[in-house]
Amino acid sequence: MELDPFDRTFEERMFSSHLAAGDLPPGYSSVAMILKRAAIASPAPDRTLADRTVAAMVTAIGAAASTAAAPSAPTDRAVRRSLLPRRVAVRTAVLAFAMLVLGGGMAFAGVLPSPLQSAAAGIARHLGVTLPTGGDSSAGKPANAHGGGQQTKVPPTQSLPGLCTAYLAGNGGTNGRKDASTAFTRLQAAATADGKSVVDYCRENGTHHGQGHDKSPGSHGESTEHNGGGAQKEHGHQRDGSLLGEKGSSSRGGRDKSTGGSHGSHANTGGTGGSQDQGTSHP
Amino acid sequence: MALRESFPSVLEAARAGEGWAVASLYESLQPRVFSYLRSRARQEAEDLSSEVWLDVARALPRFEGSEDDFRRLVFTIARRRLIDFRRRTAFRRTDAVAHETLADMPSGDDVESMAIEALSAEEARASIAAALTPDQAEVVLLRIMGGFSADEVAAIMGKRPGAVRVLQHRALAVLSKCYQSNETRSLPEAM
Repeated sequence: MELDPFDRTFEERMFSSHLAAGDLPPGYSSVAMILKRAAIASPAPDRTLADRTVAAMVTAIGAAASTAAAPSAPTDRAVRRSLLPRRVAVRTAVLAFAMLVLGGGMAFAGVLPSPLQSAAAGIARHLGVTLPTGGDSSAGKPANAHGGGQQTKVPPTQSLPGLCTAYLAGNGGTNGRKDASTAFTRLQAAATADGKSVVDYCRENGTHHGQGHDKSPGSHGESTEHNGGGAQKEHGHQRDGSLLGEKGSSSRGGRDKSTGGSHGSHANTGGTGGSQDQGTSHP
Repeated sequence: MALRESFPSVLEAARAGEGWAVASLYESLQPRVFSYLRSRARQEAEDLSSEVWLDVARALPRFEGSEDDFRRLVFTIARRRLIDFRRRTAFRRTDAVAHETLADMPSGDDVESMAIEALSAEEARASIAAALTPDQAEVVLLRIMGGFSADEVAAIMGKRPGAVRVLQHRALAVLSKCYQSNETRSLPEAM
């Protein structure tokens, strides 16, 4: 009986060499024969090769068995993997500490952006520490000439006498288009804030006259001193040319410079205003 | 040479490193493994078979199963070794051929002498491998050398059983065409 070559059992019987010659369809007799011949295994090539291979196998089995029996030592990769979280944790902790120190320092100095600063101040308040809040613009900055936290655009104290001198000498205002300069603009703003004209402001606050007294000992005049948070008037000798000073620095400057001025006054006037000067400038 | 009933005890002894047991396992399958490897990589079959058996030895302590499972394991390792070898030599497109092989090859005008009957087992495997595509030859050689079913060959090759059946069907068709002309002349003597 001839088998259909497309029958699955035919193929299975071809490979198992269970087909008689008469069962084969045309063209498949040779295939069946060649498969039958190909299925004959070749003899082992070399006895010594076989012996060597078996000896190597015994060694390999012993090594594999000992490896399987021994507790598995952690591999380098496993060790690295186990260390990885710890390393990451340490780095994170160091970074967090650095951020805390930096942020704390900036918050204490009051230089953080307002939202962060106020948040930091809120947290610190719970801890009993007072930090400048975000809205406190004076925090960490030098106090202005008027003190008391009030911030106006006042020219720097040291430059005020010179500025007033220049203004009163006619360099301000429209003369020479000096109105456009930042210094005069600030001077005018400061005067406006005090509700005075620039001339009055300079006469009261600017010390060009007084400074002149200082430089030329013995001269008399009246000057007003803004010292720290409050105004302090001195009649008689002007002892300091830069009394519209910054908080803290003005008293020191006044004390230092008053020495020269007072000496001059004492020398020429015989202490007309010297006692008063000494009394007010040295608390 | 199958071990049959003695296989479990031989396997147990081989796991314990007994030389005789290892030799029994080796000799039970080595001729077929070697023939399979030689049909695919003629010159390197000896080296490859040694590598295969070393891999088998390393896997032996963890192996559990029957003799058929062990045979499947050995041929799976053999096929993987063969694939590794082909990858290594993929860039080296020359196959070394022994002088004897060239001398024994029939000349172009000696086609009639290639009667199927005259073919040795090795030549038969070589002609199958030469006539078929690599996958087809793989299926046919695993089936006839390993004695595996189509499903087992599929498991070894990592293919679906249906794909393996298609491959073997095409392989038989190609072989029938190849030998049809010879059959008309030499089959009467051969059969």
